[in-house]
Amino acid sequence: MFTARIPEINQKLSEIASSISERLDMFDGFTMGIYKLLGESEINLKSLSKKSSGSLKKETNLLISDIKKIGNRRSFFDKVTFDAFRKNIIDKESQRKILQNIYVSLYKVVSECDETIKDSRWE
Amino acid sequence: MEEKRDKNIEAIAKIIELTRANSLKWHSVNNLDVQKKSNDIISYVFSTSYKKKILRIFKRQYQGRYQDINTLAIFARIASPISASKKSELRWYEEVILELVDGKGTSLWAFPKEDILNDLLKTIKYKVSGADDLINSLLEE
Repeated sequence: MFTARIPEINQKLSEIASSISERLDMFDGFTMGIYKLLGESEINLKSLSKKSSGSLKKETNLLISDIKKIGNRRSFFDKVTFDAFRKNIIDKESQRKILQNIYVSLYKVVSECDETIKDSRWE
Repeated sequence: MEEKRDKNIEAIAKIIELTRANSLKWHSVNNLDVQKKSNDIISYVFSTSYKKKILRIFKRQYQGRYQDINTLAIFARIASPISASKKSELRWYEEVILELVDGKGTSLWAFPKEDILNDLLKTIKYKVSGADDLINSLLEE
């Protein structure tokens, strides 16, 4: 179940979350930089999902689904949400809250993954 | 356990949000106020109060035995005797500590270690330095 790549992926996710925090410090709507960070986190989360199981996998998949909603690549509903972002129909405060939720969820995944890594050392 | 960990992360994220919104005002504190072990290096000490509780945050650098959690590194240590000697090496590590303190600065309870604490310290430094005010006034000119 556990592979050598997991600590590396988790480190990367922690770094992405930290970069999102810096964007939130001076948030002014969803920029290309933020979309890029979300794209990077999606790639790493997918990789983590393939290598994990149980609650970590479940939480990781939920977060991937939330990120996809903003990225317009899943369903009609996602497209509507994405268009609303692009046309600034969703106000900046709501956008900030959406990004804040993703940020917190990212750290929850990182923390759970850390626990998995620690547990694996005793196996 | 998992629920408690999630709650801690949500609480720290909330402190970051309150700091960004200037609802929590942090101020710099003398690093001599922090109790430490002899070789520790304490820096960036800030304090604030929230609902009659005093919060203090700081960066702690400390020496500890070399430990690489990367599984590849563990295999590498088995394969290479030179790497194995690193096991007994002392290295510098750093962590950010967020704690509740009493009026005399004595630590009462510390939040568990989480990566998100690094972001809280960065946000506090950003706010206390007045960087956002400077950027905004530069853009307005």
